[in-house]
Amino acid sequence: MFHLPTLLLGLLAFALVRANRVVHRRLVRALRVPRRPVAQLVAMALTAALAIATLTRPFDLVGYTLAALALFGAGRFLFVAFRSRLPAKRLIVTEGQPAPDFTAIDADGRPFQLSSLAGQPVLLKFYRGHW
Amino acid sequence: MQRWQALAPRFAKLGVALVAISPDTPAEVARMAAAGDLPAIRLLSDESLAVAAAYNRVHEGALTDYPRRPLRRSLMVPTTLLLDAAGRVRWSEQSDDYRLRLDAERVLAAVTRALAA
Repeated sequence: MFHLPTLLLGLLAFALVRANRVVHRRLVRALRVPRRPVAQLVAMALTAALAIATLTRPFDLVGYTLAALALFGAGRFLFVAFRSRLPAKRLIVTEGQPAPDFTAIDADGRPFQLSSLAGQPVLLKFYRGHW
Repeated sequence: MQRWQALAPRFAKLGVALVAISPDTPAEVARMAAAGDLPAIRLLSDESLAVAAAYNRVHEGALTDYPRRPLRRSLMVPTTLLLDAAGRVRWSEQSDDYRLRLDAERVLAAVTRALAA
């Protein structure tokens, strides 16, 4: 049930994934996410390998758990990094055309109509929300 | 969004209203507004994605990568449009990778150019 080297390896793999997440969040906030984060991808691939290696070591409950979490985290990062492209969809309106009017619910729960801002320029941002 | 908020006074100087629409529920939008971090941005909920569909902005089966959320759901293709006072599109830009955020400072420069033209 207890095997110190396995525990330490699991802990290391888990810490590497957490550190990568912290770095990634900082890059996102600073608008410095590279199109292909090569260093992070390599680090996560090595971390995944380390986690797998940990899981082949003699059993240690905490070490195995940490390695499994690290493997999941690294795997998710690698998966997302290669699936972040957005579909190239043609916008329904082109420059010079009137934007379709719409009604949506505002922060007060009331209907808001785009045309209510007629007479002033509007920067309209479609975003993914907080998911 | 915080960067847009930070540049809000400069957008206001140009007379530009900031409107942000997302698939968040009205309750989520209300919570975000109540947090008080984005007072200059009018936050809207398009939970049904009807508005996104009207502009062809729906990203079906998007990967969410966030805890306590379904791994896949329909979201919006991040897009920014500048409408002039007559409601016509003067400038637009859409992202091709959701990890890459549009630089608000660059948008401000584009908006300034478009409105001056």
